Formats: sequence, C-alpha cells, structure tokens
Amino acid sequence: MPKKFTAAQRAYIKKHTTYHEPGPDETNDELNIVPFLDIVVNLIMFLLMSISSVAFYAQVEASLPSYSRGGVGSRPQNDEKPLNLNLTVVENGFILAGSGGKLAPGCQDTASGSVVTVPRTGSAYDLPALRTCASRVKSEFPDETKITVSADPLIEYRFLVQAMDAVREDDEGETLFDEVLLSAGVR
Amino acid sequence: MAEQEKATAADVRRIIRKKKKRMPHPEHHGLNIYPMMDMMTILLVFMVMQFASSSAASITQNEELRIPYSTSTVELSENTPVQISRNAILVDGEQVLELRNGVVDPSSKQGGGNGFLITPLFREMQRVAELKKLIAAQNTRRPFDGNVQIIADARTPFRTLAEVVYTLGQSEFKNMRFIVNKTRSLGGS
Repeated sequence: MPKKFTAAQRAYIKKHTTYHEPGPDETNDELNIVPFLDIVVNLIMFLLMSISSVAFYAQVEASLPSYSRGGVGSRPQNDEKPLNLNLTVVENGFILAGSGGKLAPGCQDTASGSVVTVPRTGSAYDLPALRTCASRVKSEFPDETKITVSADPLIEYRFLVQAMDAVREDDEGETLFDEVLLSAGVR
Repeated sequence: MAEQEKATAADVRRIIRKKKKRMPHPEHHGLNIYPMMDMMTILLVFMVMQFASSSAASITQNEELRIPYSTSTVELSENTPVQISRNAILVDGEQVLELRNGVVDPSSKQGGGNGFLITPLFREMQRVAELKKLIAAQNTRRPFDGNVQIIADARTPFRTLAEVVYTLGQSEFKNMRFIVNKTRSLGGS
C-alpha cells in the first residue's frame, strides 16, 4: 500500500532528485589540448622526413699529400721500394701507375708511353675492371693502403668519386686502398 | 476506506535512491590523451635535438647542386662546409665567389688563368682557420684538426675541384670530407 508523504517530504525528495545539466565549470574537462596535439604530430612528421633524408648521405675521406724533407735520418731502413700507387682519371679511362711505371691493360705488366690501364668501354668507365686491377695490385702489395688520385682538368667530380669507390674495397668488402690522397695538381 | 500509512524518513531515502537510479549519469566520454601527449612531446624534443645536431640538415639539392653517388658508408662528421655548386662557392652558407658553369673566373685567382689559389676563398678560409684556432686555444676538447666538408656538384670539373682543394690546403685545411649520396652499387645512382 502506498505511503503518504507530507508536503515537506515531497519537497525534500524533489530537491534531491531533480536532474540538472552540469555547467562548463562543473565538468571534469580541462584545457582542450587536441589542437596542440595536431601541431605536435605535424612537427614530428616533418622532422622524421628531414632526419630520414640525412640518413641518405655519407662522406668520402681524402687528404692532401704531405711532403717530408729528405735526409739521411728520414730514409726507410728496409730496402723495399714504396709502391706510390697513382690513379689518374682521363677522358678514355683510368691510368694506374706505381714507382715501377704505368700498368698496361690487363694489369700484369708495366708499359711506357701514353697507355691507359683500364680503357673506357663505350660511354661508361669500366669500374669493375678497375676494381679487379686494384685487387691484383693489392695482392702484390698487401701492406699498402695509400693511393694518390688525380684527373684531367675537364673530368667531372662524380667520376673521381666512382674511381675512389672502385679502389677502396673489393666485391667481398675487403679493404684495398682506402687512404686516398688527393693530388691538387692536374696533368 | 483505510487511512494511508505515513511515510517515514527511511521511505523518503528509498524513494530518493530509486529516482536517482533512473536519472541519466553524466558520461566521461573521450579517450584520455595525456599519456599520448607526453610521449609526443618527448619525441618532439628528441627529434629537434637530433635535427639541430645534424650537420647535413642544411644540404639542399637542386639543379645547381647535385651531389654524386658513392658506396661509402662513413657517417657524416661535423666540419666547416664548403659548397661548390654550378654558380657559386659558399663557405658555411655564405657566398664567397661566383662560378660560371662550375669554373672559377681567372680574375679571382692568384696568377690568373693558370693559377690555383682562389684569393677570395683563401681569405675566407684563413679567417675560419684563425677562428677555429682561437676556439681550440680556449677549449682543448675542440682542437683544430684541419677537417673540411666539401659539398660539390657532381658535374664540377676536376680543375675547379683541384683549385679549391689547393686553396684549402694553403689555408691549413688538409683533410677533405666529400659529401655523397649513399648507393649500394658501384657507379650507381
């Protein structure tokens, strides 16, 4: 059977059960950080792209040849002649030369005159042949790591870099001549 | 008719509880993104620092500057950058002299056409060398090592490169670091 409420009890019940929408100051929400988050995400995207492009660069190290003064005291004690390997990039190929003279095509013997050790094949330089030739020289002089690189005045810089790549290491990744001395003089 | 029983305080409380159950509850909608924002901020700070410390961030390739490709895997080191594009030589981002199709004007060289020393570049590099030596004298952890970073266009003739290298050598910069694009194949692009 329903109970009878007094006016005071009804007023009390109404007071405690009336629903009102919470105002902005009553809600639990704080500062709207979504726009800030958008900016941060965009910035991260931009920086990620920039950093990934940096990863595509590398450097090739080279030095200038240093000249030491001669003298009795500075001469090497052993009788072994230094190799003094020189690589010259010319219009029609690569010339490899050492203290014994210029290497003839095939890299077996030396030759005199205007000889090109690794002739150009068509429009492109024969880089694999240069690498093979450098490997052969390395097998004869395993302790040598220095090579002096030069080129004709009109040879483009990219061919010089390719030549340095070819003599730096062989196909298996073994070091050949990684100490590059850049000859500032031109032929 | 029987008289209605009077409601007690317990009845009032029961009624209030019953009505409250039927009322809509304020919803806490939306994902809590604060931890995500913390992570993003940490990532951002890390990337900004990496970006600032990267010396290659300023390399912009365009028609005037196309860097050659190499199989070298040596990581970049921070050195004074000398940029040789088709139309100018820049030291640390500042233009030092103009080039014509990658060739130095004879009037800019000591000895004219046959000369090797590029006078404006020599003066600038001497200034840089003096500055670096001054820093080295104050800070032993940053010695003057004579390293220089060369960012050259792939089509630069060797004559120009030789002149720049000779001039750098005369200004006590003897160790060249040529910046290249990485490639896996020999002679590749």
